[in-house]
Amino acid sequence: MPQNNAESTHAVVIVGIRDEASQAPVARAVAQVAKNASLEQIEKRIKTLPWTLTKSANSSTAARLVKLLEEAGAVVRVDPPLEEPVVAREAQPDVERAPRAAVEPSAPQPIAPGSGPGIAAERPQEDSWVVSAEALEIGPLTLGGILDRTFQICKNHFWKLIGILVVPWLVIALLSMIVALGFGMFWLAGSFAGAGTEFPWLLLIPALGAAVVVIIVAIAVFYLSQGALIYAVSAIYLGRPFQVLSSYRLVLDKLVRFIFTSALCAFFATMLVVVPILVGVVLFFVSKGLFGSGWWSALTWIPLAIVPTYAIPKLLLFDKVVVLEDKAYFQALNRSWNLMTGKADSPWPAGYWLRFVILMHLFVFINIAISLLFSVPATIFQFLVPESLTTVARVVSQIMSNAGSLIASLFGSVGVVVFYYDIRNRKEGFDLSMLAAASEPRR
Amino acid sequence: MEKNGPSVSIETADHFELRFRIAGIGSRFLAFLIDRTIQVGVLVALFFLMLLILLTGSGFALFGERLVRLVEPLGQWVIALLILAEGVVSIGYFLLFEYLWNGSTPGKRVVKIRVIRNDGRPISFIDSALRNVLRFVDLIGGVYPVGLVAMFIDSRNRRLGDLAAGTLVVEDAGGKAPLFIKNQPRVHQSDQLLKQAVAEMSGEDYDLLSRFLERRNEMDSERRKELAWEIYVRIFNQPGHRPATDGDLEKALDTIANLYRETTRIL
Repeated sequence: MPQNNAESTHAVVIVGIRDEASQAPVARAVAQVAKNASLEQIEKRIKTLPWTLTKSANSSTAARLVKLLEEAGAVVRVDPPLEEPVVAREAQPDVERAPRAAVEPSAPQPIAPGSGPGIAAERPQEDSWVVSAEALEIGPLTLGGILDRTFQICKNHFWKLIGILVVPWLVIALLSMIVALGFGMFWLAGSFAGAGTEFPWLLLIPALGAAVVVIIVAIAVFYLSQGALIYAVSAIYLGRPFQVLSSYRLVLDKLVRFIFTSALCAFFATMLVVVPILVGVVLFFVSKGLFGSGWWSALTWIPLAIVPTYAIPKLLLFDKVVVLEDKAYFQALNRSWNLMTGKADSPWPAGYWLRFVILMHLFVFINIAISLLFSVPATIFQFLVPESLTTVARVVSQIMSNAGSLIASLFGSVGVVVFYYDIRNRKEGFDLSMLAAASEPRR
Repeated sequence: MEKNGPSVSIETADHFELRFRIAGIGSRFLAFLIDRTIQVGVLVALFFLMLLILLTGSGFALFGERLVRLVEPLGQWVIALLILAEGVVSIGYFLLFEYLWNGSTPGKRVVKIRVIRNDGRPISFIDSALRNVLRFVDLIGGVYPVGLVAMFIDSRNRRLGDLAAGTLVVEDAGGKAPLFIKNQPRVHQSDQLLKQAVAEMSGEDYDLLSRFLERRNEMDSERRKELAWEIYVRIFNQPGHRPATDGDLEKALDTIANLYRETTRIL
């Protein structure tokens, strides 16, 4: 029984443009779905056709691409050709259809090594303008679907996303190193100059100043990277181009609002914990006065604990709102609360709050798995190295542990952005608006 | 519902093409957690059952004594036996279910995925045994660290067990019924504007319309009205040529969708 395990992928190639006037619309159409390329670059590239946009589009993605490009005026070839869906054939008996000649069966194409059967290899490998398949597949997801999409995004854009996250670590490490070296050398110089080994108290003033600077820079860089990551994941999700630097640049304008909204959120979260505790303490004494024992107030502990447990997660989409919707402070918190309120029309868990809480717990498991990957080899390494290299082993172990935390945090951050869009798709039909915008009515 | 991940097509000997969508890593992780919960639940239930048996008839005082008498001669072998029992339950659970349930387990059923062979055929007992024995390696630490890396690297999300056994985990469509299988009432629409608009609708217009109608109940009311209006305007894009809606835009959209289905014979 001969079997052929081929990925059902299609190459989508622009082989021509109907007329000169169509060049700009085609470039704009490509810009909607291409990543890592500006409109100017696309316009330039279009002048040297053929251009293989992607080699790995699934049937529906390829069909949508063809539709988008043909309507803009491009002549498109698909390898292997798409089958004309029966429904689409029957759909418009009396309506003039867009020319389909571009999707004609083409002659067999040369096959690039490792690119899979039937996939044309005309575009040079170094050209990284690839159409993002994720862009054209947005819509409501199940919990498993959200996790799948998270892994898919992390898998396809791993190094770029890690690149965004690693910046604050590097900056903080560099700053700490500079400060430590600076003060260490200063102290050493003082010791050699005969100042003795007493602690130079005067050094405390610049040390405190440096510490404050490091803390401020660390906070700023941390929020910048978080914002840049949200922006980047959003761009991937929506199929828009993004680059590490441009993600940072875009968030820079919103940085102050982002930090202060985060502070506001932290304040409310603290209040949501502190107020029930204070109420609990008061109830303890009230109950002591009324019943002789304060422990009767324990009956109120569960309802009191429900308040922060319920309310705090509802505020946690504020960062997405600040970065992606340009709202800040109370508006952002309010928006996050509203987004997290309601139920999805899906099997259990339906409530958005519950979905979020379960998702967070699932990410805890994923984080444990990722952390194990790094911590276990690090621990084994520490045991294996000779005693003289203990310091090196400790440094290696610390680096590996940090790498584990970094990668683990990536999955959680990406997952919450996907979750945010999932709520918007469900509650606001965000994907439908995108679909409507991507395909203008024919008439 | 949108799906994630790549798909595979498999050509059978009679040139029939089978298409499967590869299950995502997240779905597989979720399925594993569900299965693991069931396993732990069964082990805990067995433990309590054993306690109950030991307690029955002897009373609590004799229970400890009986337990010590049972365990003492075995010494450290008890720990080994417990590990073995846990292993047998863990592996046996997957092996048995995957073999008997056509590549599925309770967890996989919940998230709608199943295991097949690379050639599209159901997995055999040997395949199941091979992929599940290697689960020990994938599972080091209990939360799939090795399996996770393997799936992350492999284009078809296969863990070591899948690579060794030549299996794939795919999404299980499970013969899902089409959305509009119900026999819709025929639309007797004499309105020429409506007929013309429906005739001019593109497949994407209908796609948008049907998705909206399918999901409108979970939308915020304001946004629902806005979207309904946007779609209505998209279909009737000339202001002077819009049929009366009697204030109920969604009912009008329902009518349009029904008429489109009738015209195009979409189920």
